[in-house]
Amino acid sequence: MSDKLYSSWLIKIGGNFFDSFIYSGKLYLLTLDKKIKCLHWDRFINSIIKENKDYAVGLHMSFLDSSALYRIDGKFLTLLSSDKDIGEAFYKKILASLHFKFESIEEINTKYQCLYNKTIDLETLPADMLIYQKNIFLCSESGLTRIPFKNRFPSNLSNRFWSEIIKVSNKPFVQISSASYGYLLLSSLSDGVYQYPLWDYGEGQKLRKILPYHCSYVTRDYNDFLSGSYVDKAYLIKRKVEFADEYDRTEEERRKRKVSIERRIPLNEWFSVENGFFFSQNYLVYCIANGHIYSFNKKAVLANDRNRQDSIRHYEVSLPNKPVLEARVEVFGVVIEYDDCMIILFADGHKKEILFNGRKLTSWRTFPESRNYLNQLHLIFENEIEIHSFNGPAIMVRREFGFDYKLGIFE
Amino acid sequence: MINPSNTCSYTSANGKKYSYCFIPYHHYACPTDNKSVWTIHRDEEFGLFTTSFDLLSGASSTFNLLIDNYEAQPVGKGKAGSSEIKLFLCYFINKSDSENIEWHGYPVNHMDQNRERPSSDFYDVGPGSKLCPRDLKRLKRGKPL
Repeated sequence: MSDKLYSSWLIKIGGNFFDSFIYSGKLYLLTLDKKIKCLHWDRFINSIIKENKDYAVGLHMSFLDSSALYRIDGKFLTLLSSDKDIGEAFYKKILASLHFKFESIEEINTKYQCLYNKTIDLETLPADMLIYQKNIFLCSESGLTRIPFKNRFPSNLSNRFWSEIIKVSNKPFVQISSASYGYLLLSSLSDGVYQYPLWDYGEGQKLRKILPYHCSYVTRDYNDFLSGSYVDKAYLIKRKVEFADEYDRTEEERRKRKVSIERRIPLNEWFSVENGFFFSQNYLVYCIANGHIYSFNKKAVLANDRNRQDSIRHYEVSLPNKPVLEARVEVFGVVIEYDDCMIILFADGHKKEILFNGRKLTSWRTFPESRNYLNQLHLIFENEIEIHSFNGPAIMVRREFGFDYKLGIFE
Repeated sequence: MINPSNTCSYTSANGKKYSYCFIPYHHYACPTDNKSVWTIHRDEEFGLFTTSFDLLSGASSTFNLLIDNYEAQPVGKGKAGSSEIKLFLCYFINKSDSENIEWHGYPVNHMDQNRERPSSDFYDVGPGSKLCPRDLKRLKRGKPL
């Protein structure tokens, strides 16, 4: 097997972008002139594959379909490990390093004809965006809006693919997150956390405040969530659901579902830190403080059981002792944003640092809800977007920090 | 130079007169739990007031930013828990009755209050539009600058 630990696939596109989102084969680029431009991602990558046939497998798995590597139950990787020759050949393909650079999306379009002609024109640049269940959700100081997609996505690039822009609420929000039981969670700083049901669009009064404490961001965590704050305490929130019907299948039944908050655990007290950055993923709650990263078993936190042997863990990784701006756990590892760099703690314990070198990072995105883009990291700089993809046998198999849909905690 | 007393006057181009008060507790050396303090000179503070966004439209509160090389500069200090943090957003409010039009201002924490947040226009056509995208995003998103 190759000594190289992980691949470094990268696509750079020049342009004045503010945000990006990849969803269902399309790359949505929000530009500084308040337009959402849509690139036919599948067509774009397939065109690159045609020009780089030796790298077809790596390109496909890096940019079009991560599910074989990460999402499914590991059968594919088990199969590979059962045949040394095939396994080695496969990993060799995956571990290549290939960088592509394009001056602009217009250059991409001229080359591959993959840019939709129509743009979505926005009134203001959003604080956050989420594409979820065939809707673009945008939040800003002027409220929450959604843009539903048409039922059939046109293959013709000159057709409009969205319906009208719908104002959901005038309430200001700073962040949107998807949540279980068909809700969105919205952070509203000192006004707390709101939830918005996805099955009852268009009625602003359905927006409901569920947590009255300061919230700068929410990280979704199966049925529960973590409410984090840059100025106040962080909380782990256990949600309770009362189903109207055992099967809960129809819209009517879902309307009668009651989601409430069962328990609220202040995390600063659990981790005994005042200024840590908290985030969560599935079974673990993480804290980065004073250059160290710790995790707690979520069940132990919710059960208020400090004596559980597996409840706390300190990882042997050295991190810069400076403020963390944001962090998330992804399948390939933990992604941490600092003012001048991103650090990725890969699932096998190795660390990668992406220095900004004077560039200003506007935004970054990962796609934990997706099926095909789990291995991607989008870094949006002032004049370009970098689309990274991280893959490698060590990080796919051994998941120190990462999560898995079946196995839970990794040792 | 501004007047050494605690009040300054300003007459706008359309002849409207404004009185601005330097409130002492916003000029102490250290912030308290609920009062932020300016760290810029009074000349600069008054200059930021007179050029604040939408001041002439008759609004009862306005915002401004001190921008250098497309980046927001700190204008004050505030408390977050037990630590002090830099503040970037200037908030000016009109506490007038029908007789007197008097304004005062203080730095606000863009990561905290929702009621002291600028409108979209502030970011689209006002001072926010002069920021680099990174600072614009962080201000809108309520992230540390």
